Amino acid sequence: MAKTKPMAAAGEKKKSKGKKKGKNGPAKVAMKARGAAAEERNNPFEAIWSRRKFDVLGKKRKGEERRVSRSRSEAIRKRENTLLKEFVESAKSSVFHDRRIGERDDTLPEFDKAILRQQRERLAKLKRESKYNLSDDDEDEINIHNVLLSENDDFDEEVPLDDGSDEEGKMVLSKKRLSLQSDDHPSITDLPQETHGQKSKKEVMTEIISKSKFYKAQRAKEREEDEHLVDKLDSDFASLAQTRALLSLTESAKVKVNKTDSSTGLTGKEFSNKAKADTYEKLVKEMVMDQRARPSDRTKTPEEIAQEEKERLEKLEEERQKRMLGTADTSDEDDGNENDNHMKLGNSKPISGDDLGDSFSLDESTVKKKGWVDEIYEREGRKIGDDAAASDDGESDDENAGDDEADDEDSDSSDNDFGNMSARDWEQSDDDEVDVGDDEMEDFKEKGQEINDKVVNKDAHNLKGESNVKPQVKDGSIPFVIDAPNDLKDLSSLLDGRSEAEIIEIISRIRACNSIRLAAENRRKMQILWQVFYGVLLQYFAVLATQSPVKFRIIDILVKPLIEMSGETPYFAAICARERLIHTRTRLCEDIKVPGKSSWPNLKTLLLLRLWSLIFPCSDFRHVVTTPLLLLMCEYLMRCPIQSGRDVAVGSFLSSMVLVVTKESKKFCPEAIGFLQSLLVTSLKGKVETHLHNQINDQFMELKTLKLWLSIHDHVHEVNPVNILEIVGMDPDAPYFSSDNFKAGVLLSVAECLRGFVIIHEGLSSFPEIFLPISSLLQEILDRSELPGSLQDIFHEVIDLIKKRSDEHYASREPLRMRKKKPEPIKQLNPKFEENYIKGLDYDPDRERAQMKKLRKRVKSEMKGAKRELQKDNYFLSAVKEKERRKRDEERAEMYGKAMAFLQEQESAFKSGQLGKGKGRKRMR
Amino acid sequence: MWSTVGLSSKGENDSSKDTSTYINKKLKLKFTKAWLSFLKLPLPLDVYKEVLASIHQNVIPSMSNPSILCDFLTRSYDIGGVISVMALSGLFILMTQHGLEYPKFYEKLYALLTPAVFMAKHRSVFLQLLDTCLKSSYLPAYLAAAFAKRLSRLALSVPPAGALIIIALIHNLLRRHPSVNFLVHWEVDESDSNATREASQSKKIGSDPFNQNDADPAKSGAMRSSLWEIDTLRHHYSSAVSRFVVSLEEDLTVRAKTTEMKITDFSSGSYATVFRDEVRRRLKQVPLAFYRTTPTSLFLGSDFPGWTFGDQHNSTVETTVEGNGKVEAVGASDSTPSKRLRMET
Repeated sequence: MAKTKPMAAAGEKKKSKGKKKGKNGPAKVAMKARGAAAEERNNPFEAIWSRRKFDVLGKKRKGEERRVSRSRSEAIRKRENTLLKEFVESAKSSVFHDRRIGERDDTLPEFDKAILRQQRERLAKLKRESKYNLSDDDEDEINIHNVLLSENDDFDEEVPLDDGSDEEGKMVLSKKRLSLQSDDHPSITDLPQETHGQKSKKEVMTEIISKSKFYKAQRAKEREEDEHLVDKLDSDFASLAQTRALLSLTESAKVKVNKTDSSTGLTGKEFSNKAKADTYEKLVKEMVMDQRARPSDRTKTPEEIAQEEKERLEKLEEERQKRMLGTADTSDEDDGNENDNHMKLGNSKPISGDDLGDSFSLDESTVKKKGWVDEIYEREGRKIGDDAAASDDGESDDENAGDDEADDEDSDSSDNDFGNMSARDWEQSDDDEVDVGDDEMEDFKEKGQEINDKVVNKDAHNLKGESNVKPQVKDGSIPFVIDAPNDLKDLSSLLDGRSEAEIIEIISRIRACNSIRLAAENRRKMQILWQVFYGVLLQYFAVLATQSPVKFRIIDILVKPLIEMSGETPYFAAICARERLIHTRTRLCEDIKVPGKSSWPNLKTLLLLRLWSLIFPCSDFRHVVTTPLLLLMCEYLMRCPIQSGRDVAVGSFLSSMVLVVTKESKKFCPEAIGFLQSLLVTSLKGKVETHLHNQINDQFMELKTLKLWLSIHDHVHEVNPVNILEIVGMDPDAPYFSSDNFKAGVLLSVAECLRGFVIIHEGLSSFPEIFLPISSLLQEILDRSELPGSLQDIFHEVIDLIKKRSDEHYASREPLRMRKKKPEPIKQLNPKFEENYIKGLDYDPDRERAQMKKLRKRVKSEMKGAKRELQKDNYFLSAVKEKERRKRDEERAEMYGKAMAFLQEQESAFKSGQLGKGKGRKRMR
Repeated sequence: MWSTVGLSSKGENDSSKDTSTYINKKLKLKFTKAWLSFLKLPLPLDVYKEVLASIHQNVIPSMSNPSILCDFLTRSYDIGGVISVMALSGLFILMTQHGLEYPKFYEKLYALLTPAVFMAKHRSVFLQLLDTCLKSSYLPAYLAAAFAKRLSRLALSVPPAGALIIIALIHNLLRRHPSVNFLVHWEVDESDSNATREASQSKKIGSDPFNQNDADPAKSGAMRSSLWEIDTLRHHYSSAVSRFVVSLEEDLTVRAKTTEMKITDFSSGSYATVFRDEVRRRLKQVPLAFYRTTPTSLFLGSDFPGWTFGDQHNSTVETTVEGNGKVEAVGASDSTPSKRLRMET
C-alpha cells in the first residue's frame, strides 16, 4: 500500500500536467476541482488491484489488467445513477425533468456546464435580432487601447525621466506625435514598418488607396521612359538607314523576296529606290506576305480519293460537252439538254440537305421542253418538296438511324421504311416482268407511309427519266457523270442495248459519282441514294435472269460490282437478301401445296442464291444470310417432289451448290446426301433389292414419286456435263430430259457431287453409316445398268473412296467418351501441423463454420454477462431495500424509545407524586 | 361426319325422362353402338385417317366402354406407317386409363420409328406420346438403348427440326436411364483387364454393332454400340442443331443438376420454325466474304464439277475427255478455295 500510493499520486500529477498543457486559464482551476473530487471519491482499497507479493520475471498472470475492486465500485455507482433512480421514482406518479443545459449529461463537470451555458448565451447575442443593438464591444476595444496607451506612456515617460533633458523630451514627444500620426495616417514609407496587428478599417482603406496611387505614378513614369527610348531608337535608325552598310543589306533581302515571289518584284524595286524612313515597315510587310512553310502532302483519305475521282469524271464530262458544243450542231435538243445537265450539276455540286430530294432528278430542261403540264407538275413537286424539306430531313435521319445502328431490327418494321421500300420495289417488279408503269402505280398505293411530296417527286423523276432516255440512246456515248438511277426503269434505260464493256463502264461511273464517301456531312442521304442504287441493281440482276433469252454475260458482269457494293452497305445488302429469302420461302410453301406444279426454284432464284453465297461468307457458324440460305436450299431438296427431268437437274444442281456452300466449314447436310441417294435409286432398273431397300431412307420414296428418271436405256458413249443454265429455262416435258445424254450428264454431276461430300465429310464419326448404303447402291447401279465408261470409272472411284474411308473409320473409331470426369484426389488422413500455432485462433478451414463458432461463443458469454448483471442488480436492489428497512426500523425504534422514555418519565413522576396536585404544590413550594 | 352421327343419336334419346345420370348412360350406350357400327364399315383411307386423328379426343371420353375400341385400334396399329403412328394416341389412352395390355407394344413402337415420321403431318402428337411411353424408369436398359440408338441413326437423315426433337428425346432417355449412359461414355476401366481380348478385337472396335434393320430391339445390338451420330450432329449445318447437341455432353446421370427436356417445345418444329428463328435474329453485324480478287463470274467451273455454264448463244460443246480431265483435276485439288479470310464489318 505504501508502495502504490505515491505511484498513484504521481500518475494523478502527470495526468493533470498533461491536461494543463492542452488548456489554460480557468480550465486549470476546473481540473483542480475535479481532481480533488476524484481524490475524495477514491477508495483507498481500489488503488490495489494486484494480489501478488513478489514480482516474478516473465510471468504472466490472469486477471492482472482488471481492477476488480474499482470496477465493482464503478458498477455500483452506475447502478446508483440508473437503477436506484428508477427504483426511487417507481413509487412516484410525477416526474421531474431537468432540462437545463448540460444537466442531462452526467459526465460533464459543473464548470463545463457553465461553459456551455455561456456559449449559448453568446450565440444568442450574435443572432440577427442583436445586430442592431448597441454592442458592448467598444468598451472592450477602448479598454485595450487604454492599456496599450498606458503602456506606451509608461515606456515613453521613462526615457525623459532617465535623461531629463528638455530637448530630448521634445524629440521624444515629437516622435510620439509622429508615431501617433502615423497610426492615424500611415504613409508609404513606413508601410513595412507597420508591425502591430490591430488596425482600424479606415487605416486599411487609406493604405490601399495610397498604394494604388503610388503604383500608378510609377507606371506612368516607366511609360514615359519607354517612349523616350523608342524615340531615340527611331532617330538612330533613321541615321543608320542612310548609311551604306544597311542599304546593301536591304538590297539582298529584296532580291530574295523577288526570287520567292515574283509578283512583289515590281513594288520591291520601287521600294528600293525610295529607301526612306518607311523602308523598314515595308520590308516587314513584305515578309508578312512571304510564303509560309507548308506541310508536305499527306496520304489521301478514301473520302478524298472518291472526291477526286468524282471531280475527274466531272471534268471529263465538261470537256466532252464542250467538245459536243463545238462539233455537234445537228442535235440542238441534245446540246441544250447536256448543257443544262451540266449547269445543273454545277449547281448541285455542293449537295445540300434540302435539295437532295430533287438533286438526282435528271435534266430539267427537257421537262421544260416537254410542256407546261409537266412544268407545273414539277414545280409543284419542288414546292412541296421544299416545304416539307425540314420534315423530310428528320424523316430521313430516322430512316438512317434505322439503317445504321438498328439495321438489325426486323426489316418489316415500318420505321425502316426506306430500306423496305426499295426492297419491296424490286421484290415485286421483277416477278411480273418489267412493267414499270404498273410498278409505279403499285408504289403509289404501297407507299402510303411515305409523304406525298416524295411520291410526287419520284413520279416527276420517272417522267423526266423517260424523256431523258431517248437522247442518250440516240447519242450512243456514255456521259461521264451519271446520277444513280432510282428505279429499275432508269437503270434498264441506261443499260439496255449497251455492250458489255459499256455496261461495266457505266456502272463504275455511277459508283464513282455517287460514292458514299463523297458526302462526308451528308453521308446518310448519300447512303440512301446508294442503297436505292444497290436495290435497283439487284433488281436488274434478277430481271435479267427472268428474261428469255438470258444474258448470262451481263449477269456475270453485274456480279463484281454487286459484291463490291455489298461491301459498302453490308446491312442493306443483308436486309435485301433476307427479305428476298423470306419471300422465296413463302412462294415455295405456296407452290408445294399446289399438286402438279413444280416447286423447284427457277433460274432467277438459283442465280440469286448463288450470288448471296458469293457475297456472304458461307463458313460462318451462324450468319444472318447464309444460314437461312442453306436452310432454304435444303428445304428445297427435302420437300420438293420430283415431277420432271428438269426437277432432277435442278435438284442435283442445288445439291452441288450445297456442296460448294458447305465445302469450307464441312457442315453436314443430311438433305443433300439423301436427295442424291434417292436420285441414284431412280436410275436403278427394276425392283430395288430388299437388302438394299432397307438401307435406303424410305422417306424419299414417299415424298418423291419415283419414276426411273435416270435409268439409261441405251449405251451412251459420251458423257457431257449438263448445261444447267440452259436446262432451267427448258420446258419440263422437253424430249431432251428423257434422252440418255441428259441422264448420263446428271449422273455424272451426282457422282461428282457425292465425291465432294465424301471428301468433306470424311471426318464425321458416323461416316460409314452415312455413306456405306450409298456405296452399295452405286455398286448395284454399276452391276445392273450399262453406264458409259467414264461414268463407270467415276462410280468406281467414289465407291473405293467410301470403302477406304469407312475402313479407316472402323479401324480408328472408338466409343464415345463424353463424360470425362476430373480425377478426384484421394482423401488423406495425415495429421496437419500448423507452424507458429497460436492458441485460441481458429484454424478451421471452413470459414463459415469458424465464424459460426465464434458467434456462438460470443452469444454464450453475453448471456452469462447479462445473467450476472441481473443478479447484481437484484443484490443491489435488495441492499437498497434492506438499507431502507433498517432505516425505517431505526426510526421506529427511536420513536418508540422516545415515547417509552416519555411514558417512563411520566410514570416515575406519577409514582413519585409529582403529577397532578403535587405540581402545584411543588410550585408553590 | 361422325360427330353429326353422334349428335343425331343423342337427339333420338331425348324423349326418355329419367334422371340425368340415366340419360347420360343411355346416351353413351347409343353413342358407342353408333360408333362401333360406323367403324365396322369399310372406310376410305382419308376418312380412316381422320377418325384416327380425332378418336382420342372426341370419341373415347364419351364412350361407355372404351376398351371395346381396342380391337379397332390394335388392328390399325398393326398396319404400320402413318396409320399406326396415328393410332398410337388412341391406344395410349386405352393402355394408360383403361387397363389395356398390348403385347409387344414397344417392339411395334420401335418399328414405327422411320424418317417418314419426322415429316408426317401428325408428328407432334406422336413424338410427345413417344416421349411419354419411354418415361417409365422400369424400362429395360436394352430397350432404352435401342430406342436411343435408332433415334440417333434417324437423326442422320431427317430435317433439322427433326434432329432437334431427336436430341431432346435422347437427352430424356439418357437422363431417365442412367444404365444406358454407356452410349455416350464408354468406361475404359475394364480395358486394362481385358487388354488381350481387346487386342484381338481391335479390328472391329470401330464398327457399329447396331443393326438398324432388325425389328426386334433386343437383337439390335444397341447395347454394344455408341452414339457416334451425336458426335456427327455437331457438324450439322443448322447452328440450332449443332448448338443443341452440346447439351448431351453434360453428365445426365446426375439428376439433381439436369432437367428433362420438354418435348412439346420441339415437337411442332418444322423447316418453317427453324427458318423463322434464323431470319428473326437481330442484325448485329454482317460479315462479308473476302476475296483477294473479286470473282467476276457467278459460276466457276471448278466449283461445280459435272456442270457447264455456257451461254446459250455460244456453242459450248466441250469434248468429253477435256471436261472429265478438268473435272478430275479439280476433284483432286478442290481443297483450295478462293475464299480465305473473313472481313468483319
